[in-house]
Amino acid sequence: MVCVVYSALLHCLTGQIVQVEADISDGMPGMELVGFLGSEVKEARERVRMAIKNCGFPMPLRRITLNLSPANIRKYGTGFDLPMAVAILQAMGQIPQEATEKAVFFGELNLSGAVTSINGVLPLALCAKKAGFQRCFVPAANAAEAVLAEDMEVYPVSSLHTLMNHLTGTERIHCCKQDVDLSSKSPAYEYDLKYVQGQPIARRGLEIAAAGLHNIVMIGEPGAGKSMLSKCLPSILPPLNTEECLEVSSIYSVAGQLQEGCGLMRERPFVSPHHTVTEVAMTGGGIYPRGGLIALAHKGVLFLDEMPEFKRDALECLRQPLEDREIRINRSSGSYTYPADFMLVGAMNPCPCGAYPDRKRCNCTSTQRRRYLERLSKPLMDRIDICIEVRNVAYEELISDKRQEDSETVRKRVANAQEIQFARFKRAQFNARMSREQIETYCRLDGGCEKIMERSFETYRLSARGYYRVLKVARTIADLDGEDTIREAHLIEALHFRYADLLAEWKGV
Amino acid sequence: MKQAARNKEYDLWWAMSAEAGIRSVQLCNKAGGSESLFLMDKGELLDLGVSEKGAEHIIYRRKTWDYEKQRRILLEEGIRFVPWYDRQYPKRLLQASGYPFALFVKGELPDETAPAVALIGARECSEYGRLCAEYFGRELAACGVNVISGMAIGIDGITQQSALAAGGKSYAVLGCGPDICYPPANRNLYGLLAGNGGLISEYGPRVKAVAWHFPARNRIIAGLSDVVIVVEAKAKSGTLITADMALDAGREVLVVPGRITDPMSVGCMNLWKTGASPAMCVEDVLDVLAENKKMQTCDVGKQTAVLDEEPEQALESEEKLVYSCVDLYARSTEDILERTGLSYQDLLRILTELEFKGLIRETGRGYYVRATG
Repeated sequence: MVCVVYSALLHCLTGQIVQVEADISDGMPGMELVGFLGSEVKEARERVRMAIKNCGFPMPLRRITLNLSPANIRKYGTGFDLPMAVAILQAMGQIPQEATEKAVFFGELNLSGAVTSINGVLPLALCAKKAGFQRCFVPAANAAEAVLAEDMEVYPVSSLHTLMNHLTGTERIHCCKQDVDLSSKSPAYEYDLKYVQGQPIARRGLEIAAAGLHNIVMIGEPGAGKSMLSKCLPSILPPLNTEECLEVSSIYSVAGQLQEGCGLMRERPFVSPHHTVTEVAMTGGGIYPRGGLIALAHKGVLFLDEMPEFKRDALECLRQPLEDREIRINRSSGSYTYPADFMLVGAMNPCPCGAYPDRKRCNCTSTQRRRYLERLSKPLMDRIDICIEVRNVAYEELISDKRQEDSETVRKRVANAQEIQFARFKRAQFNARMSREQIETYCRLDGGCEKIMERSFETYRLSARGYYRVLKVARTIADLDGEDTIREAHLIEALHFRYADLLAEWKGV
Repeated sequence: MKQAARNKEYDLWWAMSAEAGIRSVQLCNKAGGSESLFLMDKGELLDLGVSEKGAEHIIYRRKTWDYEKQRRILLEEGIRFVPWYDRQYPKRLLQASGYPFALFVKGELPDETAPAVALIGARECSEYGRLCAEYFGRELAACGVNVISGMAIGIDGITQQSALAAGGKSYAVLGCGPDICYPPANRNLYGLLAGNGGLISEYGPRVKAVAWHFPARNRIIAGLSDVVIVVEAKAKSGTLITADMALDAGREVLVVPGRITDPMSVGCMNLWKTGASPAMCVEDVLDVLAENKKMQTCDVGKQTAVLDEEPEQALESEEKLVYSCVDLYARSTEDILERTGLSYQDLLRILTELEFKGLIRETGRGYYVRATG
């Protein structure tokens, strides 16, 4: 008799239900696995056999055949150990047929029969829910993720033994309850703006960037506080809403980077790779590409410290995701797409030594400076909305007791601006992601503003892209002020935060 | 007639093989003409006092020599070959020691009757240097003075650009063949100079810019001019080599004074201390030219000011306040905010307004300087 147990397979973030079939028939004793299996799935043969034996069920001296269907999709990952074991046990007649109905199983087995955690439980559970399953058996360590798929009965499984007890009705496993409130209080942040002394303009720029999720670049001397400021960024970013929360958590679940037991990403991710990072680490790679740093920064911040020191390839690969808000990876096995709607935050020095334009300390020649700045390509920097300068803080400022505004106050303003934006676009969208059409609708300029725009076109030699960028930032500044229309002051501030071409002085005398 | 033509052929060979050693004229005379140089073997060259390496180079160039090809290149590029005995060869240059054997010229050579002033300075100039270079370039050109410089980034290029913009003539002495634009960033200026002045070099066409060419070409800059003005120079600067060479050639050297604390002016101030005169306005330069009988005292008409103070009158009081805070040295927005005590939004509005009026400009992110010209 063929026994069928269900599990699922991930393709990027979307799941596909996989049917695990087991049959025991006469023949040479042994176990045959079929169904286009990756090597880790083939290896499951030994794990499953030993786990079943060590749970006290002697393997029958008959031929066992397992098939993972659909057989035209390659199976990978270790999550199929548990459904395979359950299917065999059911075929052995140890589990009643109805016990596995409307249920999916995920989990890796140890030889002892213990069930260990796997990656991607959250998107797998979401997929099972969508396919109409009602019960979900997951490794105990991953249970917190699985409960986020609402209306599913989630059973944390710590070993094959307890699962058998449950399925045979000897001792039930307690169903997991969703104990995380998605709209719960904000988490504690490690860095807070109240520890940043001075820098009023840089703080303001950071606030605007956070409110509209604008790409931002910080230019300043070494030690001026660029990294400190950007580390404060998570503490002022608007919170993730439920939809975003699930999406981000799914990505982290697949990457196996969810913190154990918490199951949910409630903060916007802050990804800060070292400047030696490779292109593949950024985009994601492998035969079955896993999400790279770009995907992990989805709905959050990708912080590139010492931006000109990054490899050219690693930077240039950001261009497409910055435009399309997703990253596509093509392999012979197919095309893989991960969401990548991130905010790019860069930090750099104005010149190799960092002291420019203070000529008393800066000895860099113009050629050195040009070479340094030329490492950042124009098309990439064209996508930067805000550019701020971070200055060295004076000693008096550094030791002053003046209370600086803390992150919570800023976060409240940012959250207000976020609400205005969501209400305007009627969905979770930020100003930085406005389309041309939306810009024309929501960024209308009155006469005075138009005059300013006209003059700045000449003075600053704005490009068409630059023009729209300024409008988007002006919209965010107006939102922070809670105003419907963009006023002159908003526009002027946006103009001052624009990214001016630092290489302009070398283009013609 | 035939003799002369042949001579020119060997001279061109010599000008291109000797690659402008300062002894090229001397060697040629000693050997009794470029033709005999062409026929000498290595031993004879060594006897003349050529170095081992130099002799090998000369022999190599002789083997690969193709007169027709070189003549064609000169024609194609529109470059004239002017050996030292040519009537067109600048008389001023002949007075300087170590004058080059020949010049390659694209465009024209400076007019012998017009006064010529060399303006030289650092590539890494400050805003103050930029302002002074623009001022002297513009005003001297307006007085009919030929402006000579090296077309480098910084002071050189700025001076020549503004001299041309004022409708004057300017001449660049290059460290590469006159058919090559070095530095490439000055391509625009290169094109302008070919039309309204000249590109002069002792190096033949296709010769690339090499570091040691530049100190050598400085002697030509000094040699071509009556007065040399050092606009900005650090304590150790290539510009000072040119100043030394100018003094050797008996040229008057003027310096543009700076602040004693400014590293960009230390070189100038040291020159001043050792005897150079200060050039504080264009009249100072004209006076020196007149003293040396290079030109009649020229009435400039109105008093020329280095920094135009006029726009300040037309500004509103707050704008005036901000404008007065913006200096020739880069000042950050936060600095200005502190000094003026204005609100952040007001300051941004005024800065934008001043930028629109072309009175200030942003030099680095968040740093402002007075705009000049």
